[in-house]
Amino acid sequence: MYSEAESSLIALCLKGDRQAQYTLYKRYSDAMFNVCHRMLGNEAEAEDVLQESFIDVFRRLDSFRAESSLGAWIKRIVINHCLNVFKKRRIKFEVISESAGNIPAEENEDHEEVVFEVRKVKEGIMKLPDGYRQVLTLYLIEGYDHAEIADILGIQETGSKSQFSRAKAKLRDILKA
Amino acid sequence: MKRQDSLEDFIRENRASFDDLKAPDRVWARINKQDRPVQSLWKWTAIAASALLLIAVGYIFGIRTQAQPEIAGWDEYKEAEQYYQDRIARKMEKIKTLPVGQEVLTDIQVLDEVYEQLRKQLLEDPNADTELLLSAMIRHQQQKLDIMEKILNRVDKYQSNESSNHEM
Repeated sequence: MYSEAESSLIALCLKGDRQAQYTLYKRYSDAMFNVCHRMLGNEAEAEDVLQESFIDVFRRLDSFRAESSLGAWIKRIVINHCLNVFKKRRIKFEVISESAGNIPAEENEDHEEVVFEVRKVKEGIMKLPDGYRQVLTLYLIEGYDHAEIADILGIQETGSKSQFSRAKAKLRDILKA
Repeated sequence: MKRQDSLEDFIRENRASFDDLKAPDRVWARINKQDRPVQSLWKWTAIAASALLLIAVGYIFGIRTQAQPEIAGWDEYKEAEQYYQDRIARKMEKIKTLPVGQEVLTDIQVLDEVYEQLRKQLLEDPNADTELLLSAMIRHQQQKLDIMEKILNRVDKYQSNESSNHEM
Protein backbone atom coordinates (compact mmCIF):
# COMPACT_ATOMS: atom_id res chain seq x y z
CA MET A 1 0.00 0.00 0.00
CA TYR A 2 2.85 2.31 0.91
CA SER A 3 5.79 1.38 -1.24
CA GLU A 4 9.42 2.27 -0.70
CA ALA A 5 9.40 4.20 -3.96
CA GLU A 6 6.47 6.23 -2.74
CA SER A 7 8.11 6.91 0.60
CA SER A 8 11.25 8.25 -1.04
CA LEU A 9 9.11 10.34 -3.38
CA ILE A 10 7.41 11.80 -0.31
CA ALA A 11 10.78 12.47 1.32
CA LEU A 12 11.87 14.39 -1.77
CA CYS A 13 8.64 16.37 -1.83
CA LEU A 14 9.15 17.28 1.82
CA LYS A 15 12.56 18.65 0.88
CA GLY A 16 10.80 20.92 -1.57
CA ASP A 17 12.08 19.05 -4.62
CA ARG A 18 10.07 20.48 -7.52
CA GLN A 19 10.55 17.49 -9.78
CA ALA A 20 9.32 15.11 -7.10
CA GLN A 21 6.32 17.31 -6.38
CA TYR A 22 5.50 17.34 -10.05
CA THR A 23 5.77 13.55 -10.21
CA LEU A 24 3.41 13.22 -7.28
CA TYR A 25 1.04 15.79 -8.77
CA LYS A 26 1.04 14.02 -12.12
CA ARG A 27 0.29 10.70 -10.48
CA TYR A 28 -2.88 11.91 -8.78
CA SER A 29 -4.03 15.10 -10.49
CA ASP A 30 -6.30 13.60 -13.14
CA ALA A 31 -8.12 11.36 -10.68
CA MET A 32 -8.45 14.23 -8.19
CA PHE A 33 -9.66 16.61 -10.86
CA ASN A 34 -12.47 14.17 -11.58
CA VAL A 35 -13.29 13.97 -7.86
CA CYS A 36 -13.48 17.78 -7.73
CA HIS A 37 -15.64 17.90 -10.81
CA ARG A 38 -18.07 15.35 -9.42
CA MET A 39 -18.27 17.10 -6.07
CA LEU A 40 -18.62 20.63 -7.39
CA GLY A 41 -20.41 20.04 -10.66
CA ASN A 42 -18.35 22.42 -12.79
CA GLU A 43 -14.84 22.57 -14.21
CA ALA A 44 -13.89 26.12 -13.26
CA GLU A 45 -14.32 25.53 -9.54
CA ALA A 46 -12.83 22.06 -9.90
CA GLU A 47 -9.64 23.65 -11.24
CA ASP A 48 -9.40 26.13 -8.38
CA VAL A 49 -10.01 23.48 -5.78
CA LEU A 50 -7.49 21.13 -7.39
CA GLN A 51 -4.90 23.88 -7.15
CA GLU A 52 -5.67 24.72 -3.51
CA SER A 53 -5.78 21.06 -2.58
CA PHE A 54 -2.34 20.24 -3.94
CA ILE A 55 -0.76 23.27 -2.32
CA ASP A 56 -2.30 21.99 0.89
CA VAL A 57 -1.10 18.46 0.17
CA PHE A 58 2.50 19.65 -0.19
CA ARG A 59 2.26 21.74 2.97
CA ARG A 60 0.76 18.95 5.02
CA LEU A 61 2.72 16.06 3.59
CA ASP A 62 4.76 15.78 6.79
CA SER A 63 1.59 14.82 8.63
CA PHE A 64 0.88 11.95 6.27
CA ARG A 65 1.07 8.65 8.11
CA ALA A 66 1.08 5.41 6.26
CA GLU A 67 -2.24 4.42 7.88
CA SER A 68 -3.95 4.92 4.54
CA SER A 69 -2.68 4.98 1.01
CA LEU A 70 -1.30 8.27 -0.22
CA GLY A 71 -4.07 8.43 -2.81
CA ALA A 72 -6.77 8.01 -0.17
CA TRP A 73 -5.13 10.65 2.00
CA ILE A 74 -4.98 13.13 -0.88
CA LYS A 75 -8.56 12.35 -1.80
CA ARG A 76 -9.76 13.28 1.68
CA ILE A 77 -7.96 16.61 1.45
CA VAL A 78 -9.51 17.24 -1.97
CA ILE A 79 -13.01 16.38 -0.73
CA ASN A 80 -12.61 18.65 2.29
CA HIS A 81 -11.59 21.50 0.02
CA CYS A 82 -14.65 20.84 -2.13
CA LEU A 83 -16.87 20.96 0.93
CA ASN A 84 -15.25 24.26 1.92
CA VAL A 85 -16.45 25.70 -1.35
CA PHE A 86 -19.98 24.77 -0.39
CA LYS A 87 -19.46 26.34 3.02
CA LYS A 88 -18.23 29.51 1.36
CA ARG A 89 -21.28 29.53 -0.82
CA ARG A 90 -23.14 29.39 2.49
CA ILE A 91 -25.02 26.38 1.35
CA LYS A 92 -25.13 23.88 4.11
CA PHE A 93 -25.14 20.29 3.17
CA GLU A 94 -28.74 19.35 3.50
CA VAL A 95 -30.42 16.06 3.34
CA ILE A 96 -33.00 16.67 0.70
CA SER A 97 -36.31 15.61 2.15
CA GLU A 98 -38.74 16.55 -0.57
CA SER A 99 -40.08 13.05 -0.59
CA ALA A 100 -39.31 12.10 2.98
CA GLY A 101 -40.82 8.80 3.91
CA ASN A 102 -41.08 7.99 0.29
CA ILE A 103 -37.79 6.26 -0.15
CA PRO A 104 -38.15 4.02 -3.14
CA ALA A 105 -38.49 0.44 -2.15
CA GLU A 106 -36.22 -2.15 -3.66
CA GLU A 107 -39.21 -3.53 -5.58
CA ASN A 108 -39.51 -0.30 -7.48
CA GLU A 109 -36.20 -0.92 -9.15
CA ASP A 110 -36.24 -2.07 -12.68
CA HIS A 111 -36.17 -5.70 -13.50
CA GLU A 112 -35.92 -5.19 -17.21
CA GLU A 113 -32.53 -5.41 -18.87
CA VAL A 114 -31.28 -1.89 -19.15
CA VAL A 115 -28.22 -1.06 -21.14
CA PHE A 116 -26.44 1.86 -19.60
CA GLU A 117 -23.86 4.02 -21.24
CA VAL A 118 -21.10 5.61 -19.19
CA ARG A 119 -21.48 8.91 -21.00
CA LYS A 120 -25.22 9.09 -20.39
CA VAL A 121 -24.97 7.98 -16.77
CA LYS A 122 -22.29 10.59 -16.20
CA GLU A 123 -24.43 13.28 -17.74
CA GLY A 124 -27.31 12.15 -15.56
CA ILE A 125 -25.14 12.32 -12.44
CA MET A 126 -24.11 15.85 -13.30
CA LYS A 127 -27.77 16.82 -13.54
CA LEU A 128 -28.47 15.70 -9.98
CA PRO A 129 -28.82 18.34 -7.24
CA ASP A 130 -25.52 18.85 -5.34
CA GLY A 131 -26.66 16.95 -2.23
CA TYR A 132 -27.75 13.93 -4.26
CA ARG A 133 -24.76 13.94 -6.56
CA GLN A 134 -22.28 14.08 -3.70
CA VAL A 135 -23.68 11.17 -1.75
CA LEU A 136 -24.17 9.07 -4.84
CA THR A 137 -20.67 9.61 -6.18
CA LEU A 138 -18.99 9.34 -2.78
CA TYR A 139 -20.66 5.97 -2.35
CA LEU A 140 -20.50 4.45 -5.82
CA ILE A 141 -17.46 6.06 -7.39
CA GLU A 142 -15.17 7.28 -4.61
CA GLY A 143 -15.88 4.06 -2.74
CA TYR A 144 -16.71 5.28 0.76
CA ASP A 145 -19.23 3.45 2.91
CA HIS A 146 -22.17 5.18 4.54
CA ALA A 147 -20.43 5.56 7.89
CA GLU A 148 -17.52 7.32 6.18
CA ILE A 149 -19.82 9.52 4.12
CA ALA A 150 -21.71 10.48 7.27
CA ASP A 151 -18.37 11.48 8.80
CA ILE A 152 -17.26 13.43 5.72
CA LEU A 153 -20.52 15.32 5.34
CA GLY A 154 -21.31 15.68 9.01
CA ILE A 155 -24.64 13.90 8.76
CA GLN A 156 -26.16 10.75 10.23
CA GLU A 157 -25.38 7.42 8.69
CA THR A 158 -29.10 6.80 8.13
CA GLY A 159 -29.23 10.18 6.42
CA SER A 160 -26.53 9.10 4.05
CA LYS A 161 -28.36 5.88 3.29
CA SER A 162 -31.73 7.50 2.59
CA GLN A 163 -30.14 10.33 0.62
CA PHE A 164 -28.35 7.74 -1.48
CA SER A 165 -31.59 5.85 -2.19
CA ARG A 166 -33.29 9.05 -3.29
CA ALA A 167 -30.33 10.07 -5.39
CA LYS A 168 -30.36 6.73 -7.14
CA ALA A 169 -34.10 6.94 -7.83
CA LYS A 170 -33.66 10.45 -9.16
CA LEU A 171 -30.82 9.33 -11.41
CA ARG A 172 -32.95 6.50 -12.72
CA ASP A 173 -35.68 9.01 -13.57
CA ILE A 174 -33.22 11.25 -15.37
CA LEU A 175 -31.89 8.32 -17.38
CA LYS A 176 -35.37 7.19 -18.37
CA ALA A 177 -36.37 10.64 -19.53
CA MET B 1 -28.55 -11.57 0.23
CA LYS B 2 -28.49 -8.17 -1.31
CA ARG B 3 -30.52 -7.85 -4.43
CA GLN B 4 -28.69 -7.04 -7.59
CA ASP B 5 -29.05 -3.46 -8.70
CA SER B 6 -28.14 -2.96 -12.31
CA LEU B 7 -27.52 0.79 -12.11
CA GLU B 8 -25.39 0.49 -8.99
CA ASP B 9 -23.44 -2.40 -10.44
CA PHE B 10 -22.96 -0.60 -13.69
CA ILE B 11 -21.47 2.47 -12.01
CA ARG B 12 -19.25 0.40 -9.73
CA GLU B 13 -17.99 -1.78 -12.54
CA ASN B 14 -17.24 1.20 -14.72
CA ARG B 15 -15.78 3.35 -11.99
CA ALA B 16 -12.57 3.97 -13.90
CA SER B 17 -14.45 5.19 -16.97
CA PHE B 18 -16.01 7.97 -14.92
CA ASP B 19 -12.54 9.48 -14.44
CA ASP B 20 -12.49 10.76 -18.00
CA LEU B 21 -11.35 14.35 -17.40
CA LYS B 22 -7.74 15.45 -17.52
CA ALA B 23 -6.46 18.05 -15.10
CA PRO B 24 -5.57 21.13 -17.18
CA ASP B 25 -1.83 21.88 -17.34
CA ARG B 26 -2.33 25.43 -16.12
CA VAL B 27 -3.23 24.10 -12.68
CA TRP B 28 0.31 22.87 -12.11
CA ALA B 29 1.69 26.15 -13.42
CA ARG B 30 -0.37 27.97 -10.82
CA ILE B 31 0.67 25.62 -8.01
CA ASN B 32 4.27 26.06 -9.03
CA LYS B 33 3.92 29.83 -8.82
CA GLN B 34 2.25 29.89 -5.43
CA ASP B 35 4.01 27.19 -3.54
CA ARG B 36 7.64 28.30 -3.36
CA PRO B 37 10.02 25.59 -2.25
CA VAL B 38 12.20 26.04 0.83
CA GLN B 39 15.15 25.10 -1.34
CA SER B 40 15.36 28.49 -3.00
CA LEU B 41 16.43 30.09 0.30
CA TRP B 42 20.12 29.60 -0.35
CA LYS B 43 19.65 31.18 -3.75
CA TRP B 44 18.30 34.32 -2.17
CA THR B 45 21.21 34.30 0.23
CA ALA B 46 23.56 34.17 -2.73
CA ILE B 47 21.72 36.92 -4.56
CA ALA B 48 21.66 39.06 -1.45
CA ALA B 49 25.40 38.56 -0.97
CA SER B 50 26.10 39.47 -4.59
CA ALA B 51 23.89 42.53 -4.38
CA LEU B 52 25.67 43.65 -1.24
CA LEU B 53 28.99 43.41 -3.01
CA LEU B 54 27.77 45.24 -6.07
CA ILE B 55 26.62 48.06 -3.82
CA ALA B 56 30.02 48.04 -2.18
CA VAL B 57 31.70 48.23 -5.58
CA GLY B 58 29.50 51.16 -6.55
CA TYR B 59 30.35 52.87 -3.32
CA ILE B 60 34.05 52.37 -3.88
CA PHE B 61 33.82 53.73 -7.42
CA GLY B 62 32.01 56.71 -6.01
CA ILE B 63 34.62 57.55 -3.42
CA ARG B 64 37.76 57.64 -5.60
CA THR B 65 40.15 58.63 -2.90
CA GLN B 66 43.61 60.00 -3.60
CA ALA B 67 46.18 58.09 -5.64
CA GLN B 68 47.91 55.22 -3.93
CA PRO B 69 50.37 53.59 -6.28
CA GLU B 70 51.44 50.67 -4.15
CA ILE B 71 48.97 48.44 -2.45
CA ALA B 72 49.45 48.25 1.26
CA GLY B 73 48.75 44.88 2.79
CA TRP B 74 48.82 43.11 -0.58
CA ASP B 75 51.15 40.33 0.61
CA GLU B 76 49.01 39.58 3.63
CA TYR B 77 45.98 39.59 1.40
CA LYS B 78 47.58 37.10 -1.01
CA GLU B 79 47.98 34.72 1.89
CA ALA B 80 44.38 35.09 2.95
CA GLU B 81 43.22 34.73 -0.62
CA GLN B 82 45.19 31.53 -1.02
CA TYR B 83 43.64 30.15 2.14
CA TYR B 84 40.11 30.89 1.02
CA GLN B 85 40.64 29.79 -2.55
CA ASP B 86 41.85 26.39 -1.36
CA ARG B 87 38.87 25.88 0.91
CA ILE B 88 36.46 27.10 -1.75
CA ALA B 89 37.99 24.79 -4.34
CA ARG B 90 37.62 21.81 -2.01
CA LYS B 91 33.99 22.64 -1.29
CA MET B 92 33.34 23.17 -4.97
CA GLU B 93 34.65 19.68 -5.75
CA LYS B 94 32.28 18.27 -3.17
CA ILE B 95 29.31 20.25 -4.47
CA LYS B 96 29.99 19.12 -8.02
CA THR B 97 29.66 15.47 -6.99
CA LEU B 98 26.23 16.08 -5.46
CA PRO B 99 22.88 16.08 -7.22
CA VAL B 100 22.49 19.84 -7.06
CA GLY B 101 20.89 21.77 -9.86
CA GLN B 102 22.81 23.59 -12.54
CA GLU B 103 21.44 26.84 -11.14
CA VAL B 104 23.47 26.33 -7.98
CA LEU B 105 26.66 26.23 -10.03
CA THR B 106 25.54 29.18 -12.12
CA ASP B 107 24.93 31.26 -9.01
CA ILE B 108 28.33 30.40 -7.64
CA GLN B 109 29.73 31.54 -10.96
CA VAL B 110 27.99 34.89 -10.56
CA LEU B 111 29.75 35.28 -7.22
CA ASP B 112 33.06 34.52 -8.92
CA GLU B 113 32.44 37.25 -11.46
CA VAL B 114 31.77 39.79 -8.74
CA TYR B 115 35.02 38.80 -7.10
CA GLU B 116 36.95 39.16 -10.35
CA GLN B 117 35.54 42.65 -10.75
CA LEU B 118 36.76 43.64 -7.30
CA ARG B 119 40.18 42.21 -7.97
CA LYS B 120 40.45 43.93 -11.34
CA GLN B 121 39.59 47.25 -9.84
CA LEU B 122 42.10 46.83 -7.09
CA LEU B 123 44.92 46.13 -9.53
CA GLU B 124 43.98 48.49 -12.33
CA ASP B 125 42.35 51.51 -10.79
CA PRO B 126 45.04 53.81 -9.40
CA ASN B 127 42.44 55.67 -7.38
CA ALA B 128 40.91 52.62 -5.77
CA ASP B 129 40.52 52.55 -2.01
CA THR B 130 42.61 49.45 -1.52
CA GLU B 131 41.84 48.98 2.11
CA LEU B 132 38.13 48.95 1.42
CA LEU B 133 38.52 46.71 -1.61
CA LEU B 134 40.71 44.22 0.22
CA SER B 135 38.28 43.91 3.08
CA ALA B 136 35.38 43.58 0.64
CA MET B 137 37.26 40.82 -1.15
CA ILE B 138 37.92 38.94 2.07
CA ARG B 139 34.33 39.35 3.12
CA HIS B 140 33.21 38.14 -0.24
CA GLN B 141 35.17 34.94 0.10
CA GLN B 142 33.92 34.36 3.59
CA GLN B 143 30.36 34.71 2.39
CA LYS B 144 30.94 32.44 -0.53
CA LEU B 145 32.38 29.78 1.73
CA ASP B 146 29.42 30.25 4.02
CA ILE B 147 26.93 29.79 1.19
CA MET B 148 28.70 26.68 -0.04
CA GLU B 149 28.68 25.31 3.47
CA LYS B 150 24.94 25.85 3.64
CA ILE B 151 24.39 24.08 0.34
CA LEU B 152 26.44 21.10 1.52
CA ASN B 153 24.60 20.94 4.83
CA ARG B 154 21.24 20.94 3.14
CA VAL B 155 22.20 18.24 0.70
CA ASP B 156 23.74 16.18 3.52
CA LYS B 157 20.61 16.44 5.60
CA TYR B 158 18.49 15.46 2.67
CA GLN B 159 20.70 12.48 1.81
CA SER B 160 20.75 11.16 5.35
CA ASN B 161 16.96 11.47 5.40
CA GLU B 162 16.75 9.52 2.22
CA SER B 163 19.06 6.73 3.34
CA SER B 164 17.15 6.33 6.59
CA ASN B 165 13.97 6.02 4.54
CA HIS B 166 15.53 3.26 2.51
CA GLU B 167 16.30 1.31 5.62
CA MET B 168 12.66 1.27 6.58
